[in-house]
Amino acid sequence: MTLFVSIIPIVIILAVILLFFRLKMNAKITHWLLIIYLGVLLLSLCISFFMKVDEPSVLVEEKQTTDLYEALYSGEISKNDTPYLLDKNSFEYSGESLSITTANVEEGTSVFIERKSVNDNLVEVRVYGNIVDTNGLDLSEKILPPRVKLSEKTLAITYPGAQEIKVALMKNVFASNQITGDKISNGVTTGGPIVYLRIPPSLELKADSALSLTEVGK
Amino acid sequence: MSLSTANLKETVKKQYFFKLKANIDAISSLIGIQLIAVLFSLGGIGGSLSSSEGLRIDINYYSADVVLVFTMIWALVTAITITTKPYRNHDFTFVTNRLSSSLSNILFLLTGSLLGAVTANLSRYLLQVIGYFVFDQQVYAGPFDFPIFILGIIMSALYIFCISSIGYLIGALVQVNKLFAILVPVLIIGSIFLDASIQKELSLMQVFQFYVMESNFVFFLIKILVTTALVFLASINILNRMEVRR
Repeated sequence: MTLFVSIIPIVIILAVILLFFRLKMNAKITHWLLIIYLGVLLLSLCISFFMKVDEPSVLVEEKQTTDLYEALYSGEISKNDTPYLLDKNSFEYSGESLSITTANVEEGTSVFIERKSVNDNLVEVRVYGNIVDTNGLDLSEKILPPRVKLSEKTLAITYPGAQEIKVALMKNVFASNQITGDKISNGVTTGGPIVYLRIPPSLELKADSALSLTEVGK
Repeated sequence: MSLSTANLKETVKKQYFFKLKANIDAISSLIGIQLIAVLFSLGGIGGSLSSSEGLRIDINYYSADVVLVFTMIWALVTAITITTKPYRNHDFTFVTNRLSSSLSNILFLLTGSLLGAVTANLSRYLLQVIGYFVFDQQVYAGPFDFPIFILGIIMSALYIFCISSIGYLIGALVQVNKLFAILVPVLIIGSIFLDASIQKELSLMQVFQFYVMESNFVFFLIKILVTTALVFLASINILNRMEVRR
């Protein structure tokens, strides 16, 4: 597709240059050309109102001031309804130990563990993550969170595998950005998706070797 | 109102409407150049790539910036073109002088700048629609913001008009002496090489920043209008001298 896009302009340029040199357009043709061109542009403006596009949200202030990993390591992330939360679930579990198995996981992926102060026989699963571009747009909801299931004494985490997220953003012309202060700065911050477990205080965990368990809030 | 002022006004008005028809080719080339710019813009104006923990994010930015820059180039070339002899000969259809000719040319360039600014700013929606229907790519544009849209048109028109005034000055200088056709590019390219050789910030870049870095609309308006007026005044003065010389 990229090759196609890069070839089209060259072909069109040559065609237009030839056209403009060969044809001396009369006034009537130019009038129609202008009317059609303006018509197409105005029609595009109208169509753009009806195009269904999932607009990314603007970065919430809390995210701007809180670092995802800092919040994770401190164990503070589960205290509030953080904007980094992608998915949450909970399972009743009264066993003494729990095995964690994974699928599609990259070597060294961390699962964060927070031990609750009281035993409520509940394993709470939260998935955190974020994609934030430097212009302040939050694209986090595009992350496909891992699926987490509890069956008997095993908690199975299925990671979605390699994810490729392609996003196209339209910016205003530089002439207006100069006044509004909007800048196109290229850059994106990513984190996760990270599985965060809140477990009863005495629950023993066993994980497969690909996974690293990180206890937080100690 | 004096009689001579009324005559000048009437002549300028007649010449302006005549030039709108006579220089209609310029509008065809504006459409052509903007369509080329739209095609160039389809690849995006930049992007960022990030990859971590199995997550690869590819963000591509789209904008009508290329269309606006191409429109500025069009304005520069059109302004130079209308000072050439075949175009100046149009003026002999009317009882005229150099001043009325220049004033009608400036009005024509202003019209072209406004048209170019409106179409350049609207072209972002064409980009969006092509991206959506042809390349199946959702382009996030945010909600339509009318004041920003109008601001974009005004700012673009000011830039295009200012560039056209520079083109008009270059055209006027070349009409006085053909040597300027070589001298102007040599001066521009020479200053770039000179600044680069002594590792100094480019003088042209400093001039450019004087306008582009101005974030206050009123100050920008003053800067660009004063510059445009001074450059047009210089051009009118140069072209008026030609009448004496020839």
